[in-house]
Amino acid sequence: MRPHAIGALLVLLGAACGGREAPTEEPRGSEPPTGRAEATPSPRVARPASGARAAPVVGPPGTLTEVDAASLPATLRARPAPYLLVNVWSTWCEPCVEEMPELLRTARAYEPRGLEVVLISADPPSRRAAAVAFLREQGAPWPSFLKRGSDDAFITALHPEWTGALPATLLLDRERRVRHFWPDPVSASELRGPLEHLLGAAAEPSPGVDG
Amino acid sequence: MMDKPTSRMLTLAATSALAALVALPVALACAQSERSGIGLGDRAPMADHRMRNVDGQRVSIADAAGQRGTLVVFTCNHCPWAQAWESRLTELGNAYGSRGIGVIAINSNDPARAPDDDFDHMVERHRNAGMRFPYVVDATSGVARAFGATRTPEVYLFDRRGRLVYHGAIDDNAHEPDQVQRRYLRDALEAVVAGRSVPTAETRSIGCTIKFAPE
Repeated sequence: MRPHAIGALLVLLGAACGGREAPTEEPRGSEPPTGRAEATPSPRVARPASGARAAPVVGPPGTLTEVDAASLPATLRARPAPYLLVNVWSTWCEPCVEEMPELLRTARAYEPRGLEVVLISADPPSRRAAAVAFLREQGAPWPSFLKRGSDDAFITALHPEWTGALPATLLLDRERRVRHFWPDPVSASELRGPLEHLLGAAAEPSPGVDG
Repeated sequence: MMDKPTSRMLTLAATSALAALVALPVALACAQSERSGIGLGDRAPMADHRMRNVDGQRVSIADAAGQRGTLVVFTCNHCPWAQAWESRLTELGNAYGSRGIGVIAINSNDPARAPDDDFDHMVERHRNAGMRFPYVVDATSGVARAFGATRTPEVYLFDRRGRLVYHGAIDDNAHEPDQVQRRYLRDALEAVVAGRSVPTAETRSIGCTIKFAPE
């Protein structure tokens, strides 16, 4: 038991240290930094907040559905897949454009295990057509979303640790809690660990099988 | 093999002590990496570090500081968000520069990663925008790292005592200036000039990641 106990403690500390792996139970201290402008951030994106709205009706393939801070939680709750890989991107953001093929390829590989990719474009409305053209060219899944309204409120609603720098990628569980947050461009190998950790556990065929 | 109760207690105590010994340095290392950058109330780091300005002179944050406060802006040439806010930022910087606020714009992007962020393009942007404040090169990205800045544009406003009183966005709408509802930076500048506390101290906005030079 001893090595396990110490090991478990270190794993916990390691997770806390990275600051990227979100808690599995209740969110840690959700006090906003002094003077923050908007509502208290919560790692559970799908938690209804005051002023929250229902999920917007998603548009047909080839269109972008608008989402803002108020409609984000309901939008994510309404997605049918158990697990979501949320990626905020823009046609103007080179690292976003560069990571997209690998991100989509990786997400597609995990689709049979319950993963859906939710792309949210941070393009201005004037770039809507360019965003759609890029998504088509990439063979990205629909629906796809366009961020609207206040940046600050949206950033806070998505994840308290996100500074707003693009791209940003998050892995959400069934409760729509953030289980992993990548604040930088991600590669397939960086995505794989947290995906295996979350989806692998869910797909475990039977208890008692040694990992 | 079964332990006797006493030896089990001893084992537990030893385990806890060992775990604490191992955990403490880890926890301390964590605390340090988590607390990168500055927070409200802090002073500007690397304030005496001189950087190359577009006019060829070397300027530090301390050199640029104003009597009533200092505005430090991390920005760049290539980022569409920096470009979208550029005229509003220039207008604010020029206006408050003549009202006792020292203003300095800093480009921390590595031109090897973002070629449009090289010195020649900085000179051009500074001239075209009509900036009447320095626009300097943070060649190692060390200043951005010390501030904990992550994106462009990202602003830090210090009051007359040199304490950070506002950090974040210029306003709440980069691409649709006519739709702006909250002018965070202007309100903060107005408060600092008047010696009042700023209405909103921290905001975030979408922007480009800083293309840090290798450490």
